[in-house]
Amino acid sequence: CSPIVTVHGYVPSDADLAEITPGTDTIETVAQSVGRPSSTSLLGNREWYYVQTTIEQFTYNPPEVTDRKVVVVSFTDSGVVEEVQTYGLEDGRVVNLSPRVTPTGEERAGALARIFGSLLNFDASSFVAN
Amino acid sequence: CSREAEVPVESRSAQDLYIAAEAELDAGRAARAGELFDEVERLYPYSDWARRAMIMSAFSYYDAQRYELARSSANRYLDFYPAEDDAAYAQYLIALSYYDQIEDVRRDQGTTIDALQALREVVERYPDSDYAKSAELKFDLALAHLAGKEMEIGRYYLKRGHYTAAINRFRVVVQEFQTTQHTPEALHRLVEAYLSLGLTDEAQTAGAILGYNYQGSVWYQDSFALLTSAGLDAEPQGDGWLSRIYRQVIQGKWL
Amino acid sequence: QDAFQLFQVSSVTVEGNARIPADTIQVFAGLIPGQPVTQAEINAALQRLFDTGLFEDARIEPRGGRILITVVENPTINQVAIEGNDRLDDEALLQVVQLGPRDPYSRTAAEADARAIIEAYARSGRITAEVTPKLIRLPDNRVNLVYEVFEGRVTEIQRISFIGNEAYSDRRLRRVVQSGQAGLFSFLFTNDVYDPDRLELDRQLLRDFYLNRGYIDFRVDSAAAELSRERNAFFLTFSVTEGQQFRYGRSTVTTFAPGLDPAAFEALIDLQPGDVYSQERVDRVIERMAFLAGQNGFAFVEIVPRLTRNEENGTVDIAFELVEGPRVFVERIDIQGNTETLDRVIRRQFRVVEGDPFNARELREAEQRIQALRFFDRVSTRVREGSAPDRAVISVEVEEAPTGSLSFGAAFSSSEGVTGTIGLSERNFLGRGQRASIELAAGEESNTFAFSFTEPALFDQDLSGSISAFYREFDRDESSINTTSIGVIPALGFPLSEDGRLSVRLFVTQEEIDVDPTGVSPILQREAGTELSIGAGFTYTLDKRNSPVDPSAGFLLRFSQDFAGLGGDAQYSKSEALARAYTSILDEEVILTAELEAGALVSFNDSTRITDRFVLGGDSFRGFSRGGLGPRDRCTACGSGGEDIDDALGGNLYAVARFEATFPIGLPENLGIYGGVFADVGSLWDLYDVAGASGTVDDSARLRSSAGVSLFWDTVIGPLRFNYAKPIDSVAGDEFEEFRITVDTRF
Repeated sequence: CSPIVTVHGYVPSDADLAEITPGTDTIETVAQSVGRPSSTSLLGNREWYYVQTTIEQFTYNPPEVTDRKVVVVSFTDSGVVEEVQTYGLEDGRVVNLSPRVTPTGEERAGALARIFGSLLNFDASSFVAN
Repeated sequence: CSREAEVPVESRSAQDLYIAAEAELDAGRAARAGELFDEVERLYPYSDWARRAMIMSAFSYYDAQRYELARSSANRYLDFYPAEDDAAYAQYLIALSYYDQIEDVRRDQGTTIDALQALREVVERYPDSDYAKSAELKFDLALAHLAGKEMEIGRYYLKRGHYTAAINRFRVVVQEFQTTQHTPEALHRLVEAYLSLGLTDEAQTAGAILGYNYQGSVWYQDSFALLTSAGLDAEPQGDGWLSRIYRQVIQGKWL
Repeated sequence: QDAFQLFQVSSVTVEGNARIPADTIQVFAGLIPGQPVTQAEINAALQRLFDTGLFEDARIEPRGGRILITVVENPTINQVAIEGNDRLDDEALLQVVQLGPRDPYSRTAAEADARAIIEAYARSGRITAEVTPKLIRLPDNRVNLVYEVFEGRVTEIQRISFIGNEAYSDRRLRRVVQSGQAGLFSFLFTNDVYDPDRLELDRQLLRDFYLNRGYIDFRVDSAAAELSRERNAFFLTFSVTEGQQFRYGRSTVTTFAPGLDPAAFEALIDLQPGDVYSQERVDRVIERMAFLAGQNGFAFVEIVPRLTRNEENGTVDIAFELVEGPRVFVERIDIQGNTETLDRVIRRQFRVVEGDPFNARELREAEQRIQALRFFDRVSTRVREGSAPDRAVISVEVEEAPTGSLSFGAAFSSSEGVTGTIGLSERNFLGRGQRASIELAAGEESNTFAFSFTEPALFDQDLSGSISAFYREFDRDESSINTTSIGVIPALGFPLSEDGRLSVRLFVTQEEIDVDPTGVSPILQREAGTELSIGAGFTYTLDKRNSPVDPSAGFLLRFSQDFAGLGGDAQYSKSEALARAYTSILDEEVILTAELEAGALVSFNDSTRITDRFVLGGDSFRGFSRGGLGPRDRCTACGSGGEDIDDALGGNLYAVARFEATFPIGLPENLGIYGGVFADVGSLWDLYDVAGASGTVDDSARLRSSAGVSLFWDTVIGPLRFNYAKPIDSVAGDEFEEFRITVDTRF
């Protein structure tokens, strides 16, 4: 039995990345050659992030991230490529996600009402012998 | 059945029917009251009673949580009497009926969007009516529901390691729903996601925005801990699989 | 007057209004006093008044500095009624109609509602219905609105005929068209009532049928539905051009990028030269190639199959070309309409994630996975451009279906009598996709209470966790014992490969055997009492059938293994294996199934109990009653009270081969009656300790066989099966059951 491998996101191929020359390429030429990024920096638009993740799922084990490539293309204020950096899985940090959730006002009918609600609306198709 | 000997509706006067309807409303049988108010309008459409019966019918059905009927009576009032003084109340009733049907954030937010549109109409068309104020308040609460939905999906992707998908969802909350109570959490989630990708300076930026705007919030303390790498090397939470099954399968929690 | 003549408007007065206040009419008209008004503006104001739908007539005239608006209000509707309808009841039709009591009447709205009623009739097959709205005037401008309906006759499909088909008979193609209708969601109205949308579906079904059988140039030239003179019947005629049947020739791969090595892709092609071309098989090759390209980081690859036909030897060469596709990303996946089901239960059916490259095939598969949840009446996905041309937003619209079901079932079988079942189950518990069910079955010979709960995505993975518990009383006359068993079985299930799935379980069961006072085999008497078995086990299933519903090709393998002995009294290993293969002959009219099932119970303390041993007969070995074959303890007048003893003892080992053919028997398809022939061959044998038996017990492997015919009938109340089977090889003492009917209604 083989693990099920899925690849998510998109990172430009090394060949395309090599063609980006800092100092001359601009936002338009980069968008043209490698396409626009999956997400950009929070403030201003000066960093472009491309992320590609490979996840393996093997039988009952939880899915495991086996590889990640992160490419950062940073631009000067005038939109000229300043630097192209790549990060790997090892640069990522293991982070404890906070389990807390911000409440958004009153829940609809309580759980019990839902149980009976859904149980008592008869499944019409089971009445029509299929 | 237990109905008192019903005098045929057709022969009762508008006023008599109207008073009977009000009695039903006071007795707590709001749905029945709505039906009687409708009869007033059906039998005596050209009487003064008809106009008041229409808005009373809308209120009675809303009170009886018959939201569809409440909306149709309110809309009919607005068709006939857009300039009358109860028009603002009719529009407000429409907004309230959608608002009460808002699903929790993990489900469809269709009615939330309807509620937002109806509430905005109350504020824009009847700004100086006494419903505008509470419509604005309810508008913000409904907006928080939409933001809650984005957060829900963001957390879904965050937990599964799809950090860019999560980042883009939390950015929608930070950019389009800043007035809602979800913004601090959205910023903290951005810190978590960027750190997981190894983009420490972006994590720092998100933490800074959170610190600057929401210094006292519990989320800022979490981010601060993460950013000063106190929480960085701890291995994933220590609780066992049994408590995770209890939280996720029985309680339906996300983590 | 000329349109630009100016009128001074000092004030506006309104006359003729009854229900609508004057100032409201003025607001509608939009004429503000004190401002000069042109004739054109007056006409626009008039139009606005009519657009409100509240007025039968209206006039606006300038009268010396004043504007006079005179209106005649539309009457108010008191009641709306429908007369002359029989097939569709008032309630159904009133839902289609917009105008209701208290609404202002208008002729245009009434005519629109009349058309809506006609459309409702057309939908249910009566395209000759006519509807005329009638007004009954009441005092003070109130009216009753009555729709008079003439329903006309149902337009049935009398005959579907085909022109231009040589390879397949009209009967066979009729099955293609009609079987397609049953499909996953059976339509509300019966099969043979004409519905315009179905014609398009029929053309697609025919195209798929031929394309999967080598006719790559197949075309449906025309599909016409003619109405009979008496307008009560339809004749559907499809004229088709089949073209030549092709088989696979050479298949090659060409790629555009160095990173994609053609050999790796050629290895994925499983199209044997000489086999008949099938579009479905080619699509599956394309899907495998796209997946491999994705794994190599080339997510934007399109695979285009180029066919080159050579008519002489009837073969077609396929060149799979891998070309650079457009770079489109999924920006958002929005899910709407889920008022009960949680967003994550639907979202986790997608393998694609926001930010991933857009992949149309994965989108279709995700929609199928959502439909397979059976939580929704309707699932529709739409793709639209997102915030930029290279961004796509996938929106999934679902319509929740009731997923709770209260089922009452009754199964009758000649040996086990009638068993009634009451079941309460919920497929989508709290909208979390969890399944919970409680079942109560009471019958002449057995009572069962069973409960089960399943979480299909434990820890949000493709890992299903389930727990089931049961209490069962069983009166087994053929062994003159009755048993009471209680058990609880937690289990985990997960995929091992694309079609292979493993489920592992623990089990704790307690079984009590109590024995009839007299006339019982001493062997069974020894086994009376209560035993606790605690153990673990697994079941591996490999499902390569072409369809789980009614398979006609492929095979199914299942192997299950249980070890008891982690505590408790029982110490055994119990293994069972099943292999079943399907094929079809006479262009899929006849379905052949061959099945081999075997089991072995190995005890670690050289003793087994009848409750653990295998029993054959009834459905598992047709022609023999339950326990009617296998080792028996038999002797006459040797019981303690002088009566006979004849008890089935079960066996530690069994092997059965079953062969079956099912086929239509010439009756019209929609009656749902078809026939079958079958044969069972096998044996049940081996006991650990036969000493002390009252008679002589033969526990060696003696071959039994039987053959028979069956009749299947999908009745309204449930699938009915009549079996008539004749034992061929049998052993003295076997008990037979030639005739068996089972009907299983669950509603």
